[in-house]
Amino acid sequence: MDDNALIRIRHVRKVYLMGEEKVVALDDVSLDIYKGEFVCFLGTSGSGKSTFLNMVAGLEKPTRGEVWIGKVPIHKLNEAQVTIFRQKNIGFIFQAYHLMQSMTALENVALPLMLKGVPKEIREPAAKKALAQVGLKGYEGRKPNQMSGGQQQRVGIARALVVKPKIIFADEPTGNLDSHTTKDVMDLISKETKENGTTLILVTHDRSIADYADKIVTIQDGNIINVEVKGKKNEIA
Amino acid sequence: MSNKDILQLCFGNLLRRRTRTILSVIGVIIGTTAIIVMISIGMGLSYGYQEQLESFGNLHMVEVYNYGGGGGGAGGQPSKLDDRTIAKMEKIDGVTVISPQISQYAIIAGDHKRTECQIIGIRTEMLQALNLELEKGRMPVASDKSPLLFGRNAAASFYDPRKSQGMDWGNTEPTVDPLQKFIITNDWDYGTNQEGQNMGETVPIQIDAQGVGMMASTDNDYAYNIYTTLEFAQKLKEEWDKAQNGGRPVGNSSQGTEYQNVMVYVADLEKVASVSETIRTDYGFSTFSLNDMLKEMQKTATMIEAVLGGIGGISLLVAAIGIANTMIMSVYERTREISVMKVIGASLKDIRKMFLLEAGMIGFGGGVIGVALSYGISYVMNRFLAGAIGGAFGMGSKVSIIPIWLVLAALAFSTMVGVVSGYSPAQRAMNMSVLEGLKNE
Repeated sequence: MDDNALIRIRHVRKVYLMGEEKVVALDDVSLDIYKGEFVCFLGTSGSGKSTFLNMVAGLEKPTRGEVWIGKVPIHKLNEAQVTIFRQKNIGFIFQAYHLMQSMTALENVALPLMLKGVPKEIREPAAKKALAQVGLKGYEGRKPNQMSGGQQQRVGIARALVVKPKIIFADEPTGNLDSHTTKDVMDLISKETKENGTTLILVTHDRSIADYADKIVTIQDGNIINVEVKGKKNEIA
Repeated sequence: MSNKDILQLCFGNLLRRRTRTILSVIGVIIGTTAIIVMISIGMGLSYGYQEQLESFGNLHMVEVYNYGGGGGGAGGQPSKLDDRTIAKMEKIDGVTVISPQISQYAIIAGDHKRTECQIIGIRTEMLQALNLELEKGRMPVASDKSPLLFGRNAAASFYDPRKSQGMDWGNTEPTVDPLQKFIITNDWDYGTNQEGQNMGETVPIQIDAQGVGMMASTDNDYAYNIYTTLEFAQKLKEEWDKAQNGGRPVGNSSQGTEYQNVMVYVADLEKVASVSETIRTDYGFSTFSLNDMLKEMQKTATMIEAVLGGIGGISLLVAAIGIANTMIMSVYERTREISVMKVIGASLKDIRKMFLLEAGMIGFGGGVIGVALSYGISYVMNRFLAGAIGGAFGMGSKVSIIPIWLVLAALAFSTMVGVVSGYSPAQRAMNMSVLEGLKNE
């Protein structure tokens, strides 16, 4: 365990109550993630990989254990504090894109800036630039329902990039896309995060996508069973 | 998030759900209009009462009567309604001018015409305070020896006794020039062929007087009288008493005279009631003021206003339920949207602000249109109903009155209704679990 790591996860456990029954989603998980790293959580459905992501992103609180991002104890923050932390440091990319249907591509990308209180004169050019970055120049005025899945996800990526976050979380970002588009999108995500030095945490069940990552963390039944770092093989946690 | 952005976002959201927004707004419009129109009718009623009473006389006036000889003041001492008591009453808080009233019923003649009427003497300060509108001439002043100020109807009641049996009560056009010399007499046959024949013991007297002015109004309680100074009226009264006594002076001089009637003018309308009350309880005299009646009538009007306003309030309550329903539906519908916004950085406060603002906008928008509609309805009622219904209910010239405070109150109320009914949905949106909202459908 390395105290200099950007994200430090220590003995995190998460137990859900399903009616009377206790379900252990995460058993006892510890992990270090470094700045600028592309980390992939790989696992089957129900393995606990999404719970793990939610925990690190502060969307859920662990039953036990600690999650530190830099000097911030995420597990201790209340919802309002986590929101502010996310606003400043974190970007999200979703499987279902989650774009605002009533807004144009440009407005969607500018939305995180608007929520931060950035005035229109500044946020719109920034959003335009982000759209160009993901190859959607000329699509600014389109509504989500006028775009293909791949294009919508590009808008989603631009929306995550526009705030220049330290960390981007992506939950099955290509889950709804065909294999050709998947490749395009994955190339884009890894290229943009590498260029900006952004830490990327991606959740997937797809081994071929995991291969884009610097570090592949395999999760099964709520425990990390394998951490594979590019270059080195089979570093068992 | 900047307020301008929130506002734009909310406006966009409302527009997106156009039909539902419009329906909710219509609910508020109906509620607001109902409240405003109902209360405005109550206000019209109250105004009508006041108008009616003002036509009867002066709302500032308290009349003090000496019935029952002053049933005993605060100290148990029976008060006399004399100059000393008047001087004391003058110091009661709120009293602007006080004047005893001396009246003598007499025959007044001039220009070969005569009339019979009450000549009332009051202090010239009181005449000033009454602020009577003059059509001709001037008010009597203290230096006048024998001034006569004619009520309009009094000036119109002069008739030629040789041609007519009596005065024409319906007439309001002066039949003599009020600014001339008159003779005041106690001879009921003055100007007829039987002049001075039916006097019995009474000594006939004739006193000269000078007309100085005439009032303009025909429909108040001053119109049928002739006013003069207190001194001249006192002189008339003494002469009359002496004449009735066969020409011999009657004991008491003016010193220590008890008056039958004292007028008290209170400039501050708010204090009329308290002055009247003080004179009743502390001095033991009977009092009468139109203001007392107005208070009673206004109590009734306020009650009617409350009942009408309550009926209007029910419809706004229904509108509030409509808004709450719209906003709750909106929260359910936008679960995912709200969650996404939260994840990508909307603060909880902003989320709540957004929903409260949307609900408030429905309330305010409905309120504004409701106010406009109310003005329209009020105009139509005043224009077309004032004559028909107004007359039937003894109302004044206006059926409906919308004061500016009612408009502001209605706007504030409708906005508040919106915000209050939006509060629980907003709270729900704020506290909603992000993860639940993001689950793929």
